[in-house]
Amino acid sequence: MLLPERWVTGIRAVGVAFTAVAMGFSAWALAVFDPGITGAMQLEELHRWIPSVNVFYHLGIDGLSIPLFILTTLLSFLAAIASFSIKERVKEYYALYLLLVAGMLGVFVSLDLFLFYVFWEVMLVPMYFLIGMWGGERREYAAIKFFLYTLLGSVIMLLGILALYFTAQPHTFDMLELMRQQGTFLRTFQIIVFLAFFVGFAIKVPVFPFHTWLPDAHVEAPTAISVLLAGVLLKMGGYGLLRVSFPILPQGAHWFAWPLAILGVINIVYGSLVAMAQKDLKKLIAYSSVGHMGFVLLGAAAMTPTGLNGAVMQMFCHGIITGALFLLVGVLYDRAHVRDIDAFSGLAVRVPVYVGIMSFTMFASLGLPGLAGFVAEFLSLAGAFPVFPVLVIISGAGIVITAAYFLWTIRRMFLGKLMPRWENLPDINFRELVTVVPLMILMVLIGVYPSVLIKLMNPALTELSRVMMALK
Amino acid sequence: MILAGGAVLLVAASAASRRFAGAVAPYFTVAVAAATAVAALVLWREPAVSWFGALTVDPFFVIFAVIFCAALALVALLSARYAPLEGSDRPEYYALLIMVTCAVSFMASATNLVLIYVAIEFSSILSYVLVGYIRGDRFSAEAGLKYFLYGAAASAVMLLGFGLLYGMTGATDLAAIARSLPRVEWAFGSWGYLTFLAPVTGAAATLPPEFVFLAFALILVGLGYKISAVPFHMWAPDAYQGAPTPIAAFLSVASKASGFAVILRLVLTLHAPLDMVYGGWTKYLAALAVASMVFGVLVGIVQKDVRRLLAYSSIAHAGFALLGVVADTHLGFASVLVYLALYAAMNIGAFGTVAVIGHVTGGYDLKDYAGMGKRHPILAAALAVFLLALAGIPPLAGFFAKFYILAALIARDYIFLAVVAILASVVALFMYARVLKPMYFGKAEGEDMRRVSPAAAVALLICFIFTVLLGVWPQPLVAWAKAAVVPLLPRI
Repeated sequence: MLLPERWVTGIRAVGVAFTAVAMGFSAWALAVFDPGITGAMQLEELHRWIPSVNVFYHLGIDGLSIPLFILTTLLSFLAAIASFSIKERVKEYYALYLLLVAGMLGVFVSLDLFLFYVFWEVMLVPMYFLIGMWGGERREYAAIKFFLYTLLGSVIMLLGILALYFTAQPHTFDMLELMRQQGTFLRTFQIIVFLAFFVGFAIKVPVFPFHTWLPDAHVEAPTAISVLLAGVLLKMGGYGLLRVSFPILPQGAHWFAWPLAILGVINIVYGSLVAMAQKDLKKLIAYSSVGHMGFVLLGAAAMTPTGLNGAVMQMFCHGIITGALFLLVGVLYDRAHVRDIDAFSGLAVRVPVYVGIMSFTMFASLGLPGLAGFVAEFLSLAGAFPVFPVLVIISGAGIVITAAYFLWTIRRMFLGKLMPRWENLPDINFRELVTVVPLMILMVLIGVYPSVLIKLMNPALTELSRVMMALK
Repeated sequence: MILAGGAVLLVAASAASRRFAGAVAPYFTVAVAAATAVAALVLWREPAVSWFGALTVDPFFVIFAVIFCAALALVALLSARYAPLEGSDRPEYYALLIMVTCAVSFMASATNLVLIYVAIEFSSILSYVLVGYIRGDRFSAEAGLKYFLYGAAASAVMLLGFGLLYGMTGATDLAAIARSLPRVEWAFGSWGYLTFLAPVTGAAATLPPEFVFLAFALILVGLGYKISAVPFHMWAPDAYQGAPTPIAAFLSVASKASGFAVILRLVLTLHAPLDMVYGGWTKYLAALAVASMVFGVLVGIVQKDVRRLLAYSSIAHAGFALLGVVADTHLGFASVLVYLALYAAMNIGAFGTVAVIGHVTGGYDLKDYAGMGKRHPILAAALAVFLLALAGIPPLAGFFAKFYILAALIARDYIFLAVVAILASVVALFMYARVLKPMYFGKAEGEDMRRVSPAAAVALLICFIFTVLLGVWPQPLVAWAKAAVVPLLPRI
């Protein structure tokens, strides 16, 4: 769909133009998308690819993928604008950037596991170079760590894909066909394959013991790439769970529901606690992502319609909020060239607009009612409560800690006495405002009127929940 | 049959040695390769023919012949202006190349023990000369000698194995040997719902098992040397480092593929009784494969010379391809053919780029690659693509090659082997990243000594196109490989 991007000659305008086209495409998809249709894909494309192993080029969109598809095109458009601060080797940067975006979009729309895997892997290479060439001080280490971690996860997933292929009759990589056949898969088989997929997805999410690549990659990556890492890449794990693992391996999913919920709570509490201890602003946000993704796991593990809606909503909201946070950290870093929280104080005096926006986004991230983060977390917890009451109560602690560290950070950085070295710090400029303001508008819109999003995904997710519950 | 292929080759060889103008020789070689490949492809549709029961031309041979001819043409182009070869006799070099190609083609088509042995010796002896071809270079001479000593020992051991087999069965023809082994039933096995052809039951052993075991163990030594599988790999890093790098490309692709051709022939005609009646042969092959993969990638990581790194990578790839033989089904055998064809494109590409970079900068060490992404963006990007393809990143060729082997393994429930294989691939990525890192993250320094030769650029472009194209669209290759393997399977 987006192949011609590889020949982009590299001027920034072209990079932005292509992501704008992709965004236009997603807006069109949104316009023609009918959320009422469940159990079928829309805007399907189906071509034979490698007939001798039954591989198809099969794309399509439903209520689960459309929010993430829109999120990806929106963030990649804004991040392309934010990438103007890249001064070296601009041409290579945008070529890799667009390849990355093509891979991400491909994951969210492919309906053939082979194709899904190809897109999933295609992303790793540009990501490796983007972190390694334009990243921070420890970029080489972060880049190879990211590459090896995710590759390990995905090759294990590949074994799962092959096992599914050979067990299905007729052999197929087609997700829809596999969903239809799920009743024929034995329970033990489902559990084993579920675990294989889970390793791949868990590394991407990242779920607690597999998260160590995340702070390195997020911190060392250039701003725009951190935005995509946090905003989109992390969502691929959650998306994979809901798209592949749940509907194709429902019995495996039921078997794993409790561990999944527990891991979710560990993510929430542990991620928030570690975030609190960070000195580096970017690292703090990276760990806050670990915490926020815990809500996705918790909501998904509950398998109630509310929980699933909350999970997808949390993916979307975390995408826009954390995307905005990384953009804002980038704005500050471009000017000050440090990110230590303790290096700043009293910024509110010098750069009031920036501080206003940053505080607003942090409030959204900590779940202030009226903004997007609150709705998503509330839905996840409300959906999970009937199933895992104790876990939900524990994860409440995580919310408190999140609020604590964000407020504490605001106090340390923005309030107090202005340090003399920041006397001449310029405020946020127009281009940077352009990248952040649309995200702020979405945060308010979803916070006040969440149905815009829920209307899109609810029918598909309710259907998924019905299928899952029927097998319990 | 080989008349078309072999005769043209030989005529060309004699013609070339009669002092062609040095500049024409490489292009003449390319023409010979193209003609032979076309002749072989014409034979594809013909029914299998056998010559005196010694040589067989069948689709199986045609696939290998095409791989060899492609390797010959690409290597000839890469050698055209290759600096370290300046001052050595050029036309003879190409004549030798053509003759090696002829020898490995014989290996792929031979169905008689004597002829197999002669073809292997023929190809090995010519290879020794080519490895040591750089006149006045100590490393090249040393590499040639080392290669020769290992090769001589390995082929002597193999000859002993052939002798034992002949002594027990009284035949040198593979089909006749197969007849004197107990018959084994093949049937459709299944995994889940997948069906495949696999050996299931066999009659009682008629030959003394320990001698059969010994014979095949000895033969495996010789063939393991040819494909550079651990523990018969020791020559490879030195030979690849010392040889003219285009020759290293040729050895790592054509020579390896010819070893696999003989292994597959033996396995396809004799293996079933071996495995069913004389004890699990696949487990020894599996051990070789695992050892090659693990050792190859682990030792490859610490290499400082890119040629040595690629040598260890080729050892690991030999192990990976052996897994297809281990799978022991028509799917597995086809996957080996697919693997070798795809591997040919990307590995000649990788070695070729290293040769070109060596030609241009004079350096083969990792530290010489620093900042190559800035100095020679196109060469660096080409090498990056070939290395990522070797690492198995989709949608490049290496991914489908590995994918197909893994599919064959999982179909037989060899989950452990599949897990080892994928773990080795992850480590392999780290090994290749060691080359990518200085190229893209390092600082550029040093001056260029020479320009890129157009012929080599064309060769790299061809490899590049195939690496990408066959990765995205492997369908024709898969269909081809299946069609080549199925007629060789025993009838049911």
